[in-house]
Amino acid sequence: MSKMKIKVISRNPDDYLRATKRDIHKLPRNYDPTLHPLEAPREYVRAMNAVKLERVFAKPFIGNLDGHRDGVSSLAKHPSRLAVLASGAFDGEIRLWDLAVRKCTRNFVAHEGWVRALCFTPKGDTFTSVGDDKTIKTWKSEVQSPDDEEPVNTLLSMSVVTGVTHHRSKPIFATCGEHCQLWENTRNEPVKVFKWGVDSLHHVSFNQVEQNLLASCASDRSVILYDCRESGPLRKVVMELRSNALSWNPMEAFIFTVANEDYNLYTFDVRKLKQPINVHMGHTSAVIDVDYAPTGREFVAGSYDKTVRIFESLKGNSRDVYHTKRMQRLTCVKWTLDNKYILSGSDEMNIRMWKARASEKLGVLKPRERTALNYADSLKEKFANHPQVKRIARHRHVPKHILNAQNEIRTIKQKAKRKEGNRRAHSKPGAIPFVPERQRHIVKEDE
Amino acid sequence: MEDIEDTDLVALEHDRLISAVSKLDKTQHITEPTRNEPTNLNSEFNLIKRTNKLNIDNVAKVLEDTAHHVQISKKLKKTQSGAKVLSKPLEKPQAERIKRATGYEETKKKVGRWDPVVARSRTVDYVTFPIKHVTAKLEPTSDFLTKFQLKSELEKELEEVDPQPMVEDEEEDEPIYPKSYEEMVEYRQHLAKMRAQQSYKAAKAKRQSKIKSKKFHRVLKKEKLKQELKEFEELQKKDPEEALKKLEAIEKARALERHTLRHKSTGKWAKNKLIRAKYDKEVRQQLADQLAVGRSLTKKLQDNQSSDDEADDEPTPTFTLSQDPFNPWMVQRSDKSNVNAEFDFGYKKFVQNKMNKQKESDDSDSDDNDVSEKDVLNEKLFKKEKSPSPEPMEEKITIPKANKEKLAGPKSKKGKKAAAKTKAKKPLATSNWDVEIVDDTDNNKPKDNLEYLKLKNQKTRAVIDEELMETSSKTAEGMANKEKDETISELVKAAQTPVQEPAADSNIDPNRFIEVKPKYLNTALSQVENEYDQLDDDQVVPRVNIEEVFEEDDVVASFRQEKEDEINKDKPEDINLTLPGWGAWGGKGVKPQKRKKNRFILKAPPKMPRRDENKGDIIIKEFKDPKLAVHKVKDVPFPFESVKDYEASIRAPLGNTFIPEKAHKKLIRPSVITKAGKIIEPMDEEELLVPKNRNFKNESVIKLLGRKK
Repeated sequence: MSKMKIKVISRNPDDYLRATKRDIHKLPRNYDPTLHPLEAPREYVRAMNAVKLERVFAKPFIGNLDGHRDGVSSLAKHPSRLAVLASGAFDGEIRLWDLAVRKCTRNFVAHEGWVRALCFTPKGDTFTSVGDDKTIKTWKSEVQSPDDEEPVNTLLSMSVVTGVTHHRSKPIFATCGEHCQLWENTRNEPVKVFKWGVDSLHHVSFNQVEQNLLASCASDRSVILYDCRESGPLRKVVMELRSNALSWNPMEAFIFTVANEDYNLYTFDVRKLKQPINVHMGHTSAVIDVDYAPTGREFVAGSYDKTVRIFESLKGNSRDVYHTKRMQRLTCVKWTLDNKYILSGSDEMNIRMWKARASEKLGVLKPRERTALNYADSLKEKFANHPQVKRIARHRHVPKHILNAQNEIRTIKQKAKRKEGNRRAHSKPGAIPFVPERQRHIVKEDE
Repeated sequence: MEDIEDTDLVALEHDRLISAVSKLDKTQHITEPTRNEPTNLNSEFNLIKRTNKLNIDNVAKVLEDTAHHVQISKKLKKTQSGAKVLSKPLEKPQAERIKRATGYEETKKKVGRWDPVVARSRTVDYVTFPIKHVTAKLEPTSDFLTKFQLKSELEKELEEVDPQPMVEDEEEDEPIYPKSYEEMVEYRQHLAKMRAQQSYKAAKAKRQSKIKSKKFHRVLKKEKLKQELKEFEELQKKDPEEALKKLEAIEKARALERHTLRHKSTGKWAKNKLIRAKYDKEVRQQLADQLAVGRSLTKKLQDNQSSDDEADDEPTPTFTLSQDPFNPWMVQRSDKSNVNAEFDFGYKKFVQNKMNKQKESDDSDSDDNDVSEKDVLNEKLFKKEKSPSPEPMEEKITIPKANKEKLAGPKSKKGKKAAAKTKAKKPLATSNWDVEIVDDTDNNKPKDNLEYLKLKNQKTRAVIDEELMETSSKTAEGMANKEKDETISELVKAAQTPVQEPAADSNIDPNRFIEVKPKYLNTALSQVENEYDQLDDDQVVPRVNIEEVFEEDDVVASFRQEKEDEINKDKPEDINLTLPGWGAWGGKGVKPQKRKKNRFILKAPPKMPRRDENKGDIIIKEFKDPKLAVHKVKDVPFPFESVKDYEASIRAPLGNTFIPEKAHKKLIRPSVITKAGKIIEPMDEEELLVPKNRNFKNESVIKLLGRKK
């Protein structure tokens, strides 16, 4: 038999060679699926690589802002400028920061005792601070003349004020302390006082969507809902332990999340307060502060266990955990309004800046780079359930004390579970009911 | 002396006089507190408890004399008669509670407006932030350009001569409009409405709390029961599953009622009655009724199906009543029918009605095979109950209901035995005292929020809600090493997988290349196309000798080599344990004894024949590669319901290597798109008016969000 010739494809070089160096390589493709029998395995390999790279590049810590001479007690975001941040400390000092250059732009002692809370007015030209000295002071955010250093307005309260929050559109703000009080900028006395037989309130927050709603956390372990118009207090939920902070979802009018002393966070629907719609677990000590991302999809929580955790609002477990060796107990956390960064203030006088997504590349992305990253992300999502991908994606290093605490908590939970199981097994059927986790932490709902 | 006595006497008399005078007026002279400066705080201590009501009659009487004033007096009287004294307001805590309740209801309603917006943003494929709805209409270029004008020569010169003063354009503050008149009116009306609602509630609460009549409360409860029944029936029509659950709740309420010791003769009330029962026939009757209720509750649930045949046969045996007439238990027997009639209401009645109906329908079924609408519904219900999962069926058997029994009805025609087995209970939580529905079990079930995802998402994604795998850095080193090993192996594996998985692909028999029908991976593609391919090949390359075509790269040899390696890899080898110099002289030039050496060689077990030993040029892998198992998914992840679905989702490629660019771009679009450096404002009320939100109709999602507790 004579030598055979095999037909070989030959192409016009114009079809696959690029004209200039900056041109994109032309890749002739044949999308016929029969020619790609191994597309799934190939994509799996790509997903594996993507997830490994994600962990390689996961370096969330950006930098810290130091300058305070005492622990940071509160933070406030500027409503219209991303680079401006106000922070108050336990020694009564307030500092304003420029986040872009990581410098302090202004600092002054505002209160005697600690600065309990800060909040900007919706326009952003002034901000209000409340302190242990029973005063509510309003300051200019920018100093043009020496007069601007002094507070624009000082209000005296009868009792200690522990929280402040501003209405989204009206010139009204609410403070809490002994009672929840509603103030108008021009008046010296509170416009309204909401009382509901509670000894003291330590956090108050206005709903940004349904603007007249506000909620506060009370030291009798309850969370109280108010309407700032006629009705006043609306409803109260009493939980097993007290809630430290509360944050409203900025995109979903009826959802809010509370940070609780019992290491968990609880997401509630205003209309169904009888039980939370979700319990977010993961912290190993009391959760001190919580703040929603501006997209309403996620929130960040800072805890007494020296870690910051990021939760997705519909899921019960954390998506990520941030810690550094030097960061001590968290006192406040904020998610910036461009959904990119997280700011955390802690006991040891520093404010830290983190990326909201640990491995995100900062700066401008070229379209092709963005496409590649998007492709990698969607691949990770597609193969998320493959054991190896999951293992790499969800693996985190945590300090030893966290690990130990987690083990301890696990043991405690197992013990409780075992005991309950035993009791159930040895008692009349139905005598010990199964109480779902979500109902377990709610004591009652008060009308 | 006399003088002194006289004066004494006078003084005494004077004293007496004074005391007598003082005795005349016994009232204490305490001045009423008066208010002399205006204040809006009224102390309760300042209120005078005295009626100084003006009697209009007296005034009118004076006026009556003159004819001119008759009219006025009449008017006065009329006003007097028409005036009503306002009732005392409610106690403060109660009033406040009512205020809070109305306020909360209002808020709930108001907040509910957001349901479609939230539901949409949760279920939609991707969302872009910041949400802003700017009209994306672009100006035509020509229009845009007309706005720019070059300055004429004259203008330029003029400007040089007289430069225009710099006008600082002030930023115009958005004017804050006060409320218009209509808005104001509307606002006030709203306020008035709220107040009215509050006052209605207050009035009602007050009225009801005052009523002591037991009958009234009984009627109230009955009404409530009726209402519930109505709701239940409606629910049954609309949502049979819900109805089932409700029935379950009712059943539970009944059980609880049973469980208590009510309707026995042990209560305080019963004991009191018992004392009087000796003398009062009516009381005896009441007691009997009470006990009848208790009995009906504690009566063992009977098999309805079997009792169907015996119709109204009472399962309880009838006693002769020749015993103690004062024994209420015995008295009860005498007017049993009466009692039954009285307690034939509520769920019991409902169930009995249903049973009767069912019987009728059964009859009709046997007469003609037309299935009524209700039966269809029942069947549907039954199916629904049966279909979801086989596992909870057992539980359900323990809580059978009238429905179920009813459902079994039509089936009983076919297999009576089976029907007889399904025991049905009568739910009869009734009586004239309060039956509180124990929390609806369905609502208490913690439904996962992720259900939103399950409901409507074109792009289903696996949802992972697990703890992070957290390790400390110390253990991490070990982990890292392990990982490294694994990752390396993975890389190797990953590179190998395409080669290893399709074992069929490497089964090339060089001698019979064309004849062998190639095996394909179980892709979703039809084999037909492949056959066409083959035909094509046949046409182009008729009967090729493979060895000739690939003369340079020796395929056959390399394949054989591969097989050799594969065989050698699995072959067990001898293990040599000899230590030179152990028990004998060792060193250079000293040969260890052969006998001794052989003693320390562990012989490998005899080689098992390979499956591909005499089968020519094929490799059969005899063991599963354990390294591959690590990469395999163990179970179907959450939102997916079957292996098929999940496999399909994995099989669909995303990369632009496999699918066209446009599809690729669409598939890899992230679910949340934000812009760098843009502030994302919270949701605005305008969003409610956006048509896409208003038109969002996914009832199930919205219902889930707004589900009432």
